[in-house]
Amino acid sequence: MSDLLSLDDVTAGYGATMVLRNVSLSVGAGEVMALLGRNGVGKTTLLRTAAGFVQPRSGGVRLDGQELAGMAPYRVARRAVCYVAQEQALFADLTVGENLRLGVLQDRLFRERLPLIEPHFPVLLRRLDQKAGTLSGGEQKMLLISRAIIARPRLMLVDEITEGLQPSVVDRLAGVLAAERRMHGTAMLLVEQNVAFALKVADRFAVLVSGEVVERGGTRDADAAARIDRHMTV
Amino acid sequence: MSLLLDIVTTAAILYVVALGLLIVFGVMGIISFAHGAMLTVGGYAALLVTWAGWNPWVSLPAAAVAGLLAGAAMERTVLRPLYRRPLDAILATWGLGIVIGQVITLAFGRQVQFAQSPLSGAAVILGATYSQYRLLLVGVAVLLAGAIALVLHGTRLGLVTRAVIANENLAQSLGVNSARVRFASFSLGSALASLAGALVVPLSSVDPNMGVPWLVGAFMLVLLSGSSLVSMAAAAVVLGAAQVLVSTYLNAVLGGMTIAVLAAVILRVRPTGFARA
Repeated sequence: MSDLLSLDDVTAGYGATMVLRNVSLSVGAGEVMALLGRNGVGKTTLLRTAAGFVQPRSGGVRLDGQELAGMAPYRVARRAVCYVAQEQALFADLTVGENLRLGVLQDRLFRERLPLIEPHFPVLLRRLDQKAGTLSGGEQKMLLISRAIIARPRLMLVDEITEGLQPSVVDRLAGVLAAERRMHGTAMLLVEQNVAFALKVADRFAVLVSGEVVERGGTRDADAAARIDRHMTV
Repeated sequence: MSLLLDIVTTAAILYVVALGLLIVFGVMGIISFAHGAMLTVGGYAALLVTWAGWNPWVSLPAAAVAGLLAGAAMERTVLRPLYRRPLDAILATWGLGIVIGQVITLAFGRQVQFAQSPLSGAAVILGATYSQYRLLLVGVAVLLAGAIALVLHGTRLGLVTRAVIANENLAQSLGVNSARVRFASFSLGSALASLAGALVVPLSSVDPNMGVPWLVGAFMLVLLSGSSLVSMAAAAVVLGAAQVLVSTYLNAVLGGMTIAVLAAVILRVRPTGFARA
């Protein structure tokens, strides 16, 4: 499988503080990679580096072999990379429909692609005129994933989508992401603390501790859960 | 009736003058102290149209185009590198305002001059005889507010602009070139400021400092309104009414100070002003 996204020996951070240290990681075309780790180990910084919001101090970030470092975030997004942030990821004062329209680069694509989310989250299509900020927590996560789906990205960068959700909603999101990958070949880099969800959806995993990858493997490996868990406990 | 018309037309004038500043503040998060200078640019555009002997209505598009070009040049050359330093950007607009004022002084001198009004005469409205031009400004205010609301809520450009106002990083993560939105907004804000300059010239005169008092009023209005067109309409009516009432029943000089004083009092009592909390 050829690499779609590759981070090679990336060191990155904020000001004088380095959060990522010599991280190398790749996501193949159509592959789902889970990045796990406790709070504050640099998972979100890694996603933000891949999305163009944090510039690496050293190392390279490449999409399909093209260097992304130094590229503005909107240019990264226009290369069919969809970043689903953990916080403030919706425009709360805009409607559900407007949030979805912003997921595509042209309005004509919005109507064309709206049917893509109907099988997954029909409730959203009935609430297109409702302010996104008035949706429940679970519905807001559905909207985030829906907006990513209608963007038809090659790569989704998803930050802790399961946080604070009840198990039934987590299962539903897992099913939707699996279907999206199956139907459209969308590659994903999922940052997660929910190990069960990660193992269910992803092909491979990596564990980050203090800004360094300390464990990696396949999610179907017999000892995958144990190898992850020993780095997740406080 | 005349008093009511004074209040309505004063509110409309304040609204037109502050509209460009509101757009710049809403999108870029900075108060442009060059707003007064852009108003002055519009005033001199109207003066040039008068000198050329052209139809005075030409002064409106001429002022808007002059403001648009000047705003585009300022954003591209001075403000863009300062996006991440808002305080420096604000100071830069102040400096730009001074430079524009000096250039105008060099070109046209310090003397007070007058431009021709595109509309003169009076109309009888509900029994009161009133200036047609001031009444026209009410229509202009409604038209401009409507046009901007239409763009903001009925077009893709408006949607991405609202997205940038709400959360610039999130908008960027969705492929929105926020620098282009800022460029368009500052250019449009400058065009509206110059248009406002051409519109107020028939009510007063043209001089290199004509924009300064208007800048104060516009600044106060935007402080009270956040980035909402509706809130600014409410603020314009309240401040406009206060100015007219104080000028009429107390003293014209006090009336000129009313807007600043009342705005300060309102912000003391309600820090969000007329904007939603």
